[in-house]
Amino acid sequence: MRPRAPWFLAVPGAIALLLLVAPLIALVLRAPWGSMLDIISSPIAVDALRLSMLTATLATVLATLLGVPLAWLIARSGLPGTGIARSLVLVPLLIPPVVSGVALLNAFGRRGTLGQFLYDHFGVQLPFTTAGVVLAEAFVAMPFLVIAVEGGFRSLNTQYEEAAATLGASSWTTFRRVTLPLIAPALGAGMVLCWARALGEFGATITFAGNFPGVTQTMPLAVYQALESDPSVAIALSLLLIAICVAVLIALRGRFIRPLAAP
Amino acid sequence: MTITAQFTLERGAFALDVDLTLRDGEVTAVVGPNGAGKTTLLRALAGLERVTSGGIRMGELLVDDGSGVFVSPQRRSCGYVFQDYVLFPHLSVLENVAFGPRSRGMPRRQARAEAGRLLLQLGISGLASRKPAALSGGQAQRVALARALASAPSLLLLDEPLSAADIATKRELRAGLVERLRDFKGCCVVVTHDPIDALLFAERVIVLEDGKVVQDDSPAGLAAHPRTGYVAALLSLNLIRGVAAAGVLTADGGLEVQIADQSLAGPAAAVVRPESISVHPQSPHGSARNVWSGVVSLIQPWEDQVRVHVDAQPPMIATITAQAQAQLALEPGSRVWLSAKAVDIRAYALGPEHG
Repeated sequence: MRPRAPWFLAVPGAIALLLLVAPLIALVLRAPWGSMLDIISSPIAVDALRLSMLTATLATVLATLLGVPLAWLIARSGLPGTGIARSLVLVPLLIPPVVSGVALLNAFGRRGTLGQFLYDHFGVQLPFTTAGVVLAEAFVAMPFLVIAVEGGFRSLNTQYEEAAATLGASSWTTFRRVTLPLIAPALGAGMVLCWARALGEFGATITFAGNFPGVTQTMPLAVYQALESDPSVAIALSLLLIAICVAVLIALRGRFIRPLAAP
Repeated sequence: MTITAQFTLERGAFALDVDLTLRDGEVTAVVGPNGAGKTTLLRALAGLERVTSGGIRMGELLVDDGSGVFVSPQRRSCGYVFQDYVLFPHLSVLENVAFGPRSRGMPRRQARAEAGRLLLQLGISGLASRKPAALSGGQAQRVALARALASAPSLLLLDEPLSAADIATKRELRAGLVERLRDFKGCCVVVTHDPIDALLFAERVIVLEDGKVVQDDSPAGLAAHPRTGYVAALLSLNLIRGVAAAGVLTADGGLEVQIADQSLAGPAAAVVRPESISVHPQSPHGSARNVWSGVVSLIQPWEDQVRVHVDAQPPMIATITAQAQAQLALEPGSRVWLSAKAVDIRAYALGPEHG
C-alpha cells in the first residue's frame, strides 16, 4: 500500500511546487498574447535569438571538445592532482556569474594576463565580441558537462576497454568505437545541461562581453534591457526562451536518456 | 608458437609466481581455489597486467620483462574470453565479432564477411543482428568465443567460460567448447574453478594455490600423484574417455562402463571418484553394474586411507581404508575386481551428440 503523505511533508512540498511554478504561470497570464508575433519577429528579438542559439551551441561544442578529455583525465588517468582538478572544475558553478565575468576580463581582457599576449601576438581581442560571449558561456557551463561525463567514465566497466585492447584496437579506436558510445547517455545529458546553462547565461556575458545588439546581446540580455523600456516585450521574450528550452529538452530526452541495453 | 611465462607479479600482499611453458595445440587448464591468482595469470599473459620481475616470451619475442620491455595487449596475438563475456552492448553480434579484424586493419565489409563466416561455422549465424542484451548466457558465451577467435589469435585465453551459463545449457556448452578447443591450433589456457571442467577440457592441468603452481600434470598424473589436499580432494579422479552409446561408454582401452544417461552418444568421458570404487578379492555379486578386473600396481598410503592403483584399461584408482587393505591382504601384483554403482559415475559429452 502506498503511504499517506504526512502533513509535515505534504504542506512544504506543495509550497515548494507553487514557488517553482507560480512565476511561470504569472508570465503566461501577463503575456501580451495579441502582439506576441510582432514582438518575436522584431529585429531585436530575432538578432538576440539567433545569437543565443549560435553562442550556446558553439559554447557546448567547445565545452565538449575540451571537457570530455578533462573528464577522462579526472576519472581515469590516476595522475596526481586529479582530486584538486575535480574541485577546481566546480568553482564556476559556485561563484556568482558576474564574478566570473570580472575574472574573465582580468584573464582575457586587452590588458589581461592572457589577453595581452593574445592581442600582441595574434591581434585577437575577446571582450565585447561574439567570441567573448562563447568564451563566457563555456566558462560557466562547462562544469555541468565535465561532471556528467566524468560520472559516465567512472561508472563504465573498464573491462570493455580491456576487451577492445585484446582485440587489437588502438587507444583511439577503443575510445571512438567503445568508450564514447558507452558513455553516450552521460555525454548527452551533460551536453543538454551545458547548452541550457549557456543559453541562460547572463552575468558573465554582460560583464565580459557587454550588451551590444547583434554582437553580444543574447536573449537573457535582451530580456533585461526590454524590462527597462517595455515589460510586455520582456515577458514575450521570456516565454519564447522558456518554450525553446522545454522543446529542446523534450526533443533530446528520448534520444539520450533511453537505456542502452534495450535491444 | 611456444610461450614461456616465468615471472613474479606482486599486487599488495599477493604474489603470483609461475614458471610455465605453453605449446601449440595444447589445452592447459588452470584450476585452484578463489584468490589463487588464476585470472591474474591470464591477465598477465594478455598484457592487461604487468609482471613485477621475470618475463613472458611469445615465441622469440619478449613481451614483458617487468621493467623496460612491454608489448601492449593490442599488439599481442591473444584472444581473451572474459568471465562475464564483456560483449560490447551497443554493437550487434556481427559487429562484436567483426571488431577484432576491423581493429587489426581489415576493411569493414571484409571484416563483416569474415565475422559472418565464423558465426556460420559456430552454428550461431541466426544471432548476427541481435544485441548482446537479447542473448541467453549460452549464446553470449559462443559469441564471446567467436569474437576472440575472429582475429585468429595464436594464444587463446578463457576465464571461467561456463560460469555464466545456467545448468541446463552448461552440458551442451561444455561439449561444444571441448570440441572447439580441440580444433584450436595455437596455445590455449582455460581458467576454471570446476575440477571436472579442467579434466575434460585439458591434456594438462596447472593447479594454483595462493599464487604458486602446486602441480602441473596430466589428469592421469593428478589422479596418480596428488601433491596437495586440494588436488587429492577435488582433482584426483578416475577419468575414462571413450565413446558412449545406449548407456554404455566404451573406453579407449576397451573397458566398458555402464552409465545412467541412456541418451548420451558420441565422444564422452566418465568420471568416478576413487572413494566410490569398491575393491573385491573375487568377482562380486551385487547391485553394482560396473565390474572391472585388474592387477594392483601400487599401494599408496594417503592420510588415514590407502589409494590402490589398479592396472586396468585404463588404469583406475580406488581409495579404501587401511583396515580394508589389511583384510584384503592387498599387495602389488594381486588380482582384484573393482566395482562402482552407475549412480556414482558421472558422464559428460565431449563433442557433438549424434543419436
